Amino acid sequence: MKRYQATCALVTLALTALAACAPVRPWERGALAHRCMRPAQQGARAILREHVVAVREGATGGMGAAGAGCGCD
Amino acid sequence: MYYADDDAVTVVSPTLGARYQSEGVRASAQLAVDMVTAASVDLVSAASPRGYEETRKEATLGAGLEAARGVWFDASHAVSVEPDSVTRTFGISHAHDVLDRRVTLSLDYGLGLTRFGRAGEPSLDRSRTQHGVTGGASMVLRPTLVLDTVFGVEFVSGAQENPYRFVRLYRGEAMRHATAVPEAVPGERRRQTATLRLRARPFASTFGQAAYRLYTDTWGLTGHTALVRLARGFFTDRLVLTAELRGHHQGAASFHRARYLVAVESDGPLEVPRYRTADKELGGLHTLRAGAHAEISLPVRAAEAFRLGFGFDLLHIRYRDFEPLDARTARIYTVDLTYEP
Repeated sequence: MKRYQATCALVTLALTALAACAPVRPWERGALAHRCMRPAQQGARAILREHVVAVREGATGGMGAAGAGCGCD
Repeated sequence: MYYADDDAVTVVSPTLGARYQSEGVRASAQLAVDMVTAASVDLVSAASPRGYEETRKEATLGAGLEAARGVWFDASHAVSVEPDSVTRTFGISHAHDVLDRRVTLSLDYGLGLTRFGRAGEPSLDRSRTQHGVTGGASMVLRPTLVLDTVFGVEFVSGAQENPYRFVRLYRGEAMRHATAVPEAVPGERRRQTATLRLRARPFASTFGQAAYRLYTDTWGLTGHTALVRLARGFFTDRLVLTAELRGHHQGAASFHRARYLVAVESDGPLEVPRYRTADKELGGLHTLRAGAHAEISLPVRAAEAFRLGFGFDLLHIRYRDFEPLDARTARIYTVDLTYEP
């Protein structure tokens, strides 16, 4: 039940955020495209460091994906 | 990357990667080698008395095509080879910009096929299959603020125990060591993850990220992971300094015990628990990783596209209910050279 509630809360938050999306003008895409805006888990160095914690923890996965598009990848 | 911890484990991991992106196509390739030397206390006590040295090799290829503006299809294949196992993974993914590129929706599917055994023992042939689906949405809330939501589910079936690992059984109130039996865990496992991540540029040349991940699985393991990262560029981003803090807390799998007690029938057969493990990663633990990274663009006009990076991380793990080892501290050093024209 707790898991179900947590999932519902996340989905609700995602839908709320979806409604709050702002338009981005072409000259504003620079900040989104900057390499420091890429998700922290991307890149060879990050993959290696995530691999280290993945083999040291029983809970793995889920920190990657998304983050493309929006002029930010 | 060089990893060394206070439990006699060292890993040297050279990696070579390339990424190419042009109008409508992208491709990537990566080769990685892990050279591991391990004689940790739990390994020596539960698996291999002399420890081991081994090399893992992994090759990854990926390619993507932009079918229409903002609509990408990607495919990847990776092979990982160790002396006692071979893993092949296949992945396909789709990303779609919608709402005038304010939202990116992504959907990934991954298949992993692993065959493993014990090195030098070809009769022991086991296999494991993984199917994983991840869906995500990246939403531009403001031109300097992005929210990512990622949901993933992974199904693992087949042999999931470590073929080298033995579990000690104890009998009676005196906790007398009775015998050691091979590890046995359920053949099916479903993992679920939900992640929220905020990426922001609060000030010029200053970037921040914060992420939280909830993890649950059908073995009863629940995990909470939080990550904060700050990056600041200097000299028009010729120097970028990054600091990162990551914390992880997890409970134990439902069948994990610090000690497995068996019934006290003096001369009768032992009642061996159906599932038993000596895997400390299935027990309760806390992890804290703190790191810093410096990246310098070479101040030579002909080499402006090259960036040289140095990183250092300190990783501390505290095991709540694992007798042979209560904590481990590791140092991770990285040196990387990136070419991005």
